[in-house]
Amino acid sequence: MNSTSFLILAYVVAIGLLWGFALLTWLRWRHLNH
Amino acid sequence: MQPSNIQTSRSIKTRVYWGVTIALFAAVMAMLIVYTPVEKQMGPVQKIFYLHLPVAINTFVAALVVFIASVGYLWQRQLWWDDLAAAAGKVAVLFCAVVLLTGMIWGRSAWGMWWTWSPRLTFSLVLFLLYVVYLLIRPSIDSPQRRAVVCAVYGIVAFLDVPLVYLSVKLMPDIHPSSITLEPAMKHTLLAWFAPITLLMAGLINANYRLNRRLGAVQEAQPPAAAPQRAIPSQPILAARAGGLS
Repeated sequence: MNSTSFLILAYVVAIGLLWGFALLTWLRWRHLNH
Repeated sequence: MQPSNIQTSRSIKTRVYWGVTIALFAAVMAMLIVYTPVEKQMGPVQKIFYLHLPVAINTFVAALVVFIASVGYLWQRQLWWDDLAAAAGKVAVLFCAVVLLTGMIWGRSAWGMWWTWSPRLTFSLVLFLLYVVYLLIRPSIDSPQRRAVVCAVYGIVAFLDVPLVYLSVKLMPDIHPSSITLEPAMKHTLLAWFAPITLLMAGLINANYRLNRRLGAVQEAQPPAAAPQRAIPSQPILAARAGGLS
């Protein structure tokens, strides 16, 4: 893997975790309100 | 103002908040690709830094919120402090996981290894594990008051690791860089990244806090579990018993 591949991997992992958690929180909130 | 109007106003504010956060996130991603120069020594992988540092600082902020909410609960004994601490604890774990993973990927490229037991990395892992344990002990205590007291004491003690993570690189020899010289364009990018990451952290704590409050209200509204009813013996059994006794 080259430098660019590591960079893309890091951003995919980070954005996936951060926004995945945000989406999960929103889904739980929606489930609780319906 | 009517309750339905308050709810609509809050819903609009929430949508605007998350809209701004997503827009800023997209903007700083574009800035990273188009505007930010590539560092000469390390190459493109150095750009992990613009995400890594703001997420690390916001991990400390989330841990600080756990600490303040824990002190608040022990002071006032109101359960909303505990709900806030629980929400911030979750966000601290998430952000610390992102810090560790992005750091590991950077380390693999820069140092040729995924992990090394340097002081800062070790204290960061300890911080992650401390808050994972914080989240694990919560559901194991049934009484909300007892859970709040235990978690508040734990939340205060766990925060002691935050200054250790920060100071470890300054006080002990460490492979982790303690300061980096940046060109003006790199500084602008770093400062810009703090905006969406901080908004995301605050938004996630707020959303999880409201979720915890709502779950608490739903649990309080539920009737207490009915006592198990004693089984009524059926007629043939009674008849058999009567027959046996006669």
